[in-house]
Amino acid sequence: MKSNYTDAEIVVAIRGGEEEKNAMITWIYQNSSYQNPIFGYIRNNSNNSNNSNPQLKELEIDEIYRNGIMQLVSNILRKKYKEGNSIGAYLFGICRLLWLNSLKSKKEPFIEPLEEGKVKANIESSEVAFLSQEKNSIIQRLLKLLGEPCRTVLKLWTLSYSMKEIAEKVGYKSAGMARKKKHQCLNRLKDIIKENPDLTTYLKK
Amino acid sequence: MDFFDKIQDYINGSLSVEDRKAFEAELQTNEDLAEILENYSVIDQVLDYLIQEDVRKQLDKIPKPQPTYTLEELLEMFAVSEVYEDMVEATYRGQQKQAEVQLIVLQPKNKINCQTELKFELEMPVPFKLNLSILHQKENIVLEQEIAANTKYFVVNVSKLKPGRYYWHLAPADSEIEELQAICRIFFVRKDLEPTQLS
Repeated sequence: MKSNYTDAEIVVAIRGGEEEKNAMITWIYQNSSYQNPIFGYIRNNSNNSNNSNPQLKELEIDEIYRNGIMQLVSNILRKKYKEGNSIGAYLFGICRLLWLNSLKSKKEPFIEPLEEGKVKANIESSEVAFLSQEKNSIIQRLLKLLGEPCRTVLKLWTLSYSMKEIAEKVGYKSAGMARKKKHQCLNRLKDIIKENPDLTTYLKK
Repeated sequence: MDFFDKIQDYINGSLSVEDRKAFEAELQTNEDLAEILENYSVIDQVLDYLIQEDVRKQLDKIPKPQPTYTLEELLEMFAVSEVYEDMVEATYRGQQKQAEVQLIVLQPKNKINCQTELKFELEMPVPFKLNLSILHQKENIVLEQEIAANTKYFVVNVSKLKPGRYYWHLAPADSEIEELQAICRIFFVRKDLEPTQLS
């Protein structure tokens, strides 16, 4: 790995092969120019009286940072991240929203300080999925109904694998076969969503 | 073009004019595509979940900052044991009694925080073999050590203990010796990790 990457190189790696992508995820996690501002911001703005245990706080921040990276990678792959935005600022914005949301769920009061002169991340809250227990369990149930091999096919497709790679991984004879399977699986998922309005209306909120 | 690959681009408005027209024409005839687009907000969340799950697997390979205890675990590690707390209470009551030979522990004091070793100092050596046990609410006896008779100073290594609330209990090794009142006190390993809700 190089010591530094441009945003464009990061996007290419995330959309690249498995090894390249995984190496890039590790690099992002360890990149102190991403990590330090996020850890610093949450540390400085935390209400210490409610959780005065410094080790626990660090673990909490680390968890937010990890969730932020998961969302960043997902947004790059699902084309929610608009190229040209700084990845560092974008990741910061995601982590900030995740953290504010965690405060809300813990009912901790928070007044955000004015941060004049600081780069405000160009991000909307719709770009962050606040995965709650309820949401997770609904999605897990949908995926269970979807079953294999569709789950794997859709995952590999979303992870930007080529049809040829999907065919190799799942054991189809050709890329064309994998493409056909992907269409079927996407339709199957759509049908499951239609057939289970009791589950999916919650996700539409 | 594979229209299914272009749904997000279509939503983003990033398709070229030509592609957008082709996509919209396809929507008129391809019922599946139209329905997928209609349900895309949910499909998108499912896809997001699949990716995040995959990224999580990679991130799990990176060690977390030490220590790696969850709040739940810490609550258990620092849990108070009523039985042992009673034993501690009894120690203080017992010391009021007058006996010929008394087991009086000068060090360590009650509720010290300790990470490496507990340093014991008795007021005077006793002519019996002693047994020191370290107790924990969840695991009961976590460590035992025999102390030779006539010892005034001794050390118990606790460096391998996890953070938590512990109790040490010092009593004659021979349980038939009743003249000596057992001593029990609280100590902590890494008290800084104790969840604040408890205190």
